[in-house]
Amino acid sequence: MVLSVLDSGEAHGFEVWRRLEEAGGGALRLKEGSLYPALYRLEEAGFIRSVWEKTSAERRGARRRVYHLTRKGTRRLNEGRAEWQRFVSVVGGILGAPL
Amino acid sequence: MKELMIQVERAVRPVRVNERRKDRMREELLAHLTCIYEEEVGRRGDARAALQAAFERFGDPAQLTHALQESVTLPQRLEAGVEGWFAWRAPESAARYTLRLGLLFLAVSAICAAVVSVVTFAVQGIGVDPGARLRIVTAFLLGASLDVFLLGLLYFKIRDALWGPSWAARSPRRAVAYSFLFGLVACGSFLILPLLGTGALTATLAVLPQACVFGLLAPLVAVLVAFLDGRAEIRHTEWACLDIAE
Repeated sequence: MVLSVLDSGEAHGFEVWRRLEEAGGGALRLKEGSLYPALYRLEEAGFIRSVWEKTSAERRGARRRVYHLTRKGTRRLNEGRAEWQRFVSVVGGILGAPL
Repeated sequence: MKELMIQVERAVRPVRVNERRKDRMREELLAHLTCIYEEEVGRRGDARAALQAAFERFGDPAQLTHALQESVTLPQRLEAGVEGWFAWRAPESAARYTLRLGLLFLAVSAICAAVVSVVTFAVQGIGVDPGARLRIVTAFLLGASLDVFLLGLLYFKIRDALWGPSWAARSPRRAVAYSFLFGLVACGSFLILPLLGTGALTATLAVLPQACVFGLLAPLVAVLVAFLDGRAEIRHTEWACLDIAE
């Protein structure tokens, strides 16, 4: 899910969360802090990379890291999407849902 | 806002990972929590209620600690274990920390020197004048450990005088004075070590030009490092010294 929202462009953690919420239509019921361990694991696996945001004069306070997809991450996302399509196709076929 | 920092620190402090990574977690989580808080203030208009709502959305610090710990790899955990020996530990003072560092340096280098000596004696035999060798090694170990303590302490003084953290006033004049002392200690060590080792004044005089150059360059490096890393180090100290008791 995180890879998918980063596919639409780089973003810092809060923006990633906002995109996830928008995409999930409010159905996501996760604590926001839990996003960061997921981001760290994805970065460790080489699917995403991050850099510190260049702070502007009007923005003060804690620094943010901006995340973006790597090529490996894009490949993993495409694989994930294909797996999901197969899953939907198989289960949809079993349940008799329109494909 | 201090309440937000404390909530973040409750989640991050127990995580077993190196301090650099911890600082990254702290900054990122604080930035996120601040965004949530600002959103809630805009929505509710009441700071107290907004804070509670922000904490609720952010999640339980203990659970977050667990999740963060799971994102840390084994090599990173081992690195944190080694770093624990040499890194500053809150709320240790600069003097106590550099003294501990000096003693640690003495212990580690004494063990290394002992191992090298045993191997050398085993391969080459005792050789001529083992007393002189022992004197040189002992002088180097003691002098270098004292240097770690003095230069370390002066570095922290330079850094604090440059940046003016909450526990020390900013003073460029004091920064210059500490840099001068730093140079003196560096130059003095360069001169004294050969004297202690050989007992010959000529050996010391022979390295005088190099000692002067070292005495000029060493404080410049210290100031540069303090200028580049000082702010992050002070920020780290502020985080690590937060009282997070409920």
